[in-house]
Amino acid sequence: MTNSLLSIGRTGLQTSQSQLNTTGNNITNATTPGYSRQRVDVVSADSFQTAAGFIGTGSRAIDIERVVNKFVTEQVRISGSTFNQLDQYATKLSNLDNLLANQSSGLSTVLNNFYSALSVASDDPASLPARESVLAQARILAERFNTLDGTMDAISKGINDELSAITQQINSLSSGIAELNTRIVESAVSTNVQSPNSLFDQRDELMRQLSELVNVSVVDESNGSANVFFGNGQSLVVGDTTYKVSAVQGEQDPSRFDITIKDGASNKIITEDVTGGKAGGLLKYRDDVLDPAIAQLGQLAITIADSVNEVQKGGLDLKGHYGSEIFSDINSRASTLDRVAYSNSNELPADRVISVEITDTSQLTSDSYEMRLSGGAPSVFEILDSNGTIVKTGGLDGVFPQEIEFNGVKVNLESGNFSGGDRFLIKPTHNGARDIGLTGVKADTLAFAQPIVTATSAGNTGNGTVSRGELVSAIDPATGQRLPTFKDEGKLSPPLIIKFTSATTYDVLDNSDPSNPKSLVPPLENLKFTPGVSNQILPGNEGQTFMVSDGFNSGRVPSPSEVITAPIGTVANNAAVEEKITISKPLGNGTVDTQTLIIPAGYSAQEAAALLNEAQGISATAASYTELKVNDDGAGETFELYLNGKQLTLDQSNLLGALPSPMTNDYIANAINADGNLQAQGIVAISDGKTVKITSNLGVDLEFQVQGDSATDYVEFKGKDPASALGTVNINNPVNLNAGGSNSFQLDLFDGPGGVSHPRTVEVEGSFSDPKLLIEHVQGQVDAAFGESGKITVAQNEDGTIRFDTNDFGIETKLRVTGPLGSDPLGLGAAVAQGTLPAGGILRVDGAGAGGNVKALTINGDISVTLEADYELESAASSQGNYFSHNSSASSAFMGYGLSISGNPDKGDAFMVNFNSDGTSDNRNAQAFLNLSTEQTVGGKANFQKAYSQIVEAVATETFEVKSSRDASKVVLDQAITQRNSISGVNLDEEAANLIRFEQIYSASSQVINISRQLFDTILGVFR
Amino acid sequence: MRISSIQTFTSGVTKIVDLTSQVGKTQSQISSGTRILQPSDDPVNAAKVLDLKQELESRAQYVKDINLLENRAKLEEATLKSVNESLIRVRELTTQAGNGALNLSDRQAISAEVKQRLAELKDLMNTKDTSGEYLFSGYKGKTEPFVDTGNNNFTFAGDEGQRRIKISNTVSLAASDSGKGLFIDVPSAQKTFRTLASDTNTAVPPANVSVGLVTDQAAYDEFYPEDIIIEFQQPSEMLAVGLPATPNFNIVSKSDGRILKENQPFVSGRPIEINGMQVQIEGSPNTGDTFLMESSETQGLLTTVSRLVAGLERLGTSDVESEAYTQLISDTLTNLRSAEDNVLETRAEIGARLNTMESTRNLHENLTLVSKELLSSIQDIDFAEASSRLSFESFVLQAAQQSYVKIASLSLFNSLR
Repeated sequence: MTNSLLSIGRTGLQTSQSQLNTTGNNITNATTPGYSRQRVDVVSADSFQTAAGFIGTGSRAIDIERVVNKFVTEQVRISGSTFNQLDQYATKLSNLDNLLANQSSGLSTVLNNFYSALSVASDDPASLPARESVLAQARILAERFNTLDGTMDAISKGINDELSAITQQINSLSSGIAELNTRIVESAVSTNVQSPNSLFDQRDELMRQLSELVNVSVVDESNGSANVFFGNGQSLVVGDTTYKVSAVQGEQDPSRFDITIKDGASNKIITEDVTGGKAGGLLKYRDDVLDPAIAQLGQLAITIADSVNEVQKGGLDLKGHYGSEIFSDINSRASTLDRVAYSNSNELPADRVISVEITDTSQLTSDSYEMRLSGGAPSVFEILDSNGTIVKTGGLDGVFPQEIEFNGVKVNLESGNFSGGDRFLIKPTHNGARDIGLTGVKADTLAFAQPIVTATSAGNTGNGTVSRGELVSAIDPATGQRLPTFKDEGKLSPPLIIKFTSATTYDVLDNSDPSNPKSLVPPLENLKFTPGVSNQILPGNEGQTFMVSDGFNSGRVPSPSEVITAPIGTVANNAAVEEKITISKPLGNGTVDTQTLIIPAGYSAQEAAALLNEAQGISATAASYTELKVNDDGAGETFELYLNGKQLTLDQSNLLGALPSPMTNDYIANAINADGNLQAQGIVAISDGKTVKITSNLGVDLEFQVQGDSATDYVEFKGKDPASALGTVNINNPVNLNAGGSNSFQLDLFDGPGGVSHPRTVEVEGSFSDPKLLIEHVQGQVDAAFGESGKITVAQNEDGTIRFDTNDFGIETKLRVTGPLGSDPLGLGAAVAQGTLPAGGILRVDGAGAGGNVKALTINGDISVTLEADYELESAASSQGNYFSHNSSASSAFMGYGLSISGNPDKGDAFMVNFNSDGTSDNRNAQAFLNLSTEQTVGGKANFQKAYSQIVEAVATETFEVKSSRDASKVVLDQAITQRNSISGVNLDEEAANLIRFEQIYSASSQVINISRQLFDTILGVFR
Repeated sequence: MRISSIQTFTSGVTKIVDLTSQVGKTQSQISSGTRILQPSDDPVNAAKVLDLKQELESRAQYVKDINLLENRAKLEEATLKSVNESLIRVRELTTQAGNGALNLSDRQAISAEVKQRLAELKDLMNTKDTSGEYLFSGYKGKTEPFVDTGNNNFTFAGDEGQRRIKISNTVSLAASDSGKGLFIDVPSAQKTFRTLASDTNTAVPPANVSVGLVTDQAAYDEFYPEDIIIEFQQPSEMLAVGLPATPNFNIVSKSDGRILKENQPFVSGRPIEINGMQVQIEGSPNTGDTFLMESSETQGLLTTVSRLVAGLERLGTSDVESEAYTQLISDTLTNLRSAEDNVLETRAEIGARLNTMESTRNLHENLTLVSKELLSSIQDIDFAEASSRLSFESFVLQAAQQSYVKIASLSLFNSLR
């Protein structure tokens, strides 16, 4: 009894001692981070049975437990992870926001200043101070870009450093957790070690700190240790083992660190799996905001440099030279190499060289691309954008350099071993803001003037006005070189003169020698002008093409055999034969729109042009021309000359003065110019006494009749230079040539004076399924037979017949094709062709002698054709052509600038286009610079200011949203913490109350012991 | 809900910290005067602010451009006014010269003053602007536009370029007028011609050709619109016609190359007559040098005055010459009138430009006011509201601080002795 009372008191003491200790522990650990308050579990000790019933034996402390809620702890961890990620993200974003938008560090003020300086210079282009100011602002602009890029680059490097630090922290935290795991497991085994409550607390605290850095999930094991995993199952701590993480240079892109984890022997990249926490925030900032902002800023810098340089190159500086670049070349060698990052995993040897050029800033985006190679040799490449969409695929053809173009970018594979599995990262605009700089041009080389100046001739009588000349481009966009018009310094190649041959037609001529304007190539002559409205004189782009008919029968002087002797009034036919013309335009989807028309035989150039004008996409004018010299012996038969029915040699002394005898060229010219009918046909004659030049700007046939003594009265006619390719023989049965086995035929070319025959035998061997191969074979054999190529051309007509053409054109030339001497197995007969043009192109027509007849001949004209963009003209004329020939082709007359004339010019008026020499007051190119501020040059969608403000807005909006999210997540975190503290936190007042309570119990228990001692003393007193 | 001690402390402190930062922010707003400290404070409005600022900048620049342009236009206007005044005086002199009672020495006297006026006009037409560029040269600002090629024969060395300046997004105005349109393309009373020495002439020093005169208008009218080229040939050409080898020339029709007069012996300064035109060539032209007499329906201002001088000095009292003289006087009066009209037309245009500048400038100024107001309403802080907010927040902060102290001192331990 007393025994038990003592022990009961003793248990009470012990229990309340534990409770007091625990309370003291709680109180002293009230502020320890991660501490959860502890509580003593007290139960009554076993009771044993007595006669009086069960008697208890006191109390027993069986366990000291932590008051925690695992769920709440996890909540704190998770929301801590989220909050820290958002906080880190928001802080970094906020800094970037300030950097970009701040007046003194941002770009918009600097851009504005640049434009102001340009505006001032545009008002006074010759002023050197104004120009200096423009250059100064350009320098400031470039430097601002450099600074911004430098700062952002430093931030990027800073992120790398922070990631390193974080991974080190993660490693030390995970080692801490692993060690705690060990100790906890040990303590569960041994009962002598202090309860691992504090170990649990410490481990929880470490895990909470870890989740601030990165999002982790925790799984408890039955033996008390806890395993820590990254987002998708990648282990970080398992029991007592840790897996080390580190931040290393990125494999794809060495400038951006990746996070790796040591898995066995190798390092596995887990950057994608790192989310949440500070690390997640940094990575998200880097990938979603910083890198894109750097790339966008780079795109803006590149576009500004490129556009300004383009305008600069098209203009003239103060000294009259074409402008040289203000900003350094966006495609300098160093820059082009710097835009590619080679993956570390590419197979050795690392000898690949790739350069990336930017070809079209209007298509450029700020995206970065990955190029992957797959497959054996030759490898196939795929180019993906940052969203993973495939932008371009193709095969490597193994031939260097290979160019791959997409989105305004050209990738040059220059050399090295490319194999399947290679990966490359292409970042075209990333370094744009870093690389922009000035080339160091001086102020007087700013190009504010444009190379073209127009002038009105002082002698103009009409009121036509010419525009200033609108420069479209001085550079050929395809090659980057200057257009031919501007290739020489100090002059236009060529300067132009626009002469009006009537109020509605004009010629554009090469005015390099003002005393002798020449035709252009292609000729732009006899073009139509509509008075009263603005006419585009020069094509404003490459689409329009021009040609002048160059077929054999176009504007030619007849051959002697075509001159007929007939009574007065008979008109000779012109040489034109029937001709089929096809006008086609490809329609983009593979089909071709075709129009066909037939020029009937005998049509004059005027009628043929009218026919062509009815078709779409084509406009045509006609003109005829000839030169003649009259020679009158002054005796015998009277010399008479008729043109289009008008007797030019008539006595009209009241109009033309005395009739000269012998007839003079001047009189003929005057007679032509005085006749109203001929004028209505557009016919004008100019005589310098020795020759009469007759033109019709309507293209009517010039029908002449000559009367007079034979041989002593004559007229000499000369046309333009004769066309080529005229002796022609058609073989009707090409099947025979293709009969297989060996066949031969004879080609006789009577070349040279006196028509000496030079027969040659041509062997044809074999049969050919493809007619083209047959033609090639025959051509080869003919060339061999003649010992030279080009003497005779073999070709196939549309109707399948084969023709042989010779380029000799003297009258004496004959070409004859026969079977082998003595036999004709090919059934060729003796096809003969004869050259037709008079030697030197001059036709002498004698008088027809006595008898009242005349010699009649007709000279037809040429047709000038303008084709709209994409339209083509083809002639199916057989043999050497009619107005047009098989070889007729139209070419572009684009000179890089447009020009228009409006009003009502008179015949004879002229306008000139010259090089703008000494044009120091010209500010047209300065205006072009200013216009850049409103044009949508950046990616084809925004102007400079807008593009910059879009960058700023994007960052600002993201910052705003993230800040709100962060504030919200803070609230969530705070609530979780509050809840945790509410459960596990120490309340000092509570502990104080507990202290009092437990002290009382202690006092009471000690009293119990005291009583038990007194009881024992009482028992002992009985025995004395 | 159970509150742990940590909770009491931390939540109190957190709140105080938050309130302090809020107060700090309000204070920044007040001291900077703007509501938007960082674009992320209000992204949408921040973007608008950027746009508005840019617009204000560009308007300010346009106003500067207009001011510059205005000065230039006024200078041009003043110059043209002086030209007009000079022309009026020349007209007076011409009328005086038309008096039939004058003799040769009287004419000389008048001619002397006309020559002075001629020089004055040339100077006015070669006026420079404040930057040192010639007003009427077109694009060739550093090239003197009106040059005497010798013998009072003036050519225009500028071009027809017209500089334009943008004074708003949609309007650009001409900043200059070319001397060609103003002073050269003046419609002439009669069909006339101008004389030019070719650029490719090789003689050094170059021979010059006089301004020329129409001596027989009827004959010239018949010949019009043909142009004449005077070509200098090898002296040996004269041998073919039995004359000694001396410098000689052909007179050729330009359009068709017809030779009108062949092998004419050359004497420097002697009048050359052809088809009612008269010119003199002075100097020693080389073989191959050419001089052009180009028909024209316009006669430059300086040419008109120059021909008046030539007529006053050269035409005598013979019947033919008197007739020519009378014709010259009457034509000159008409031509001077036309020249004045031409100048007046441009002055009117300048006036219109000045009006446009004025109204555009007013528009810019009005729109600037509107934009500034809008900008202010978006970005500026309302001081009244901010101050009262500041005092409220300070009050709340004070209350939080005091209540914190109060609560923090509550502890059971204080009562435990």
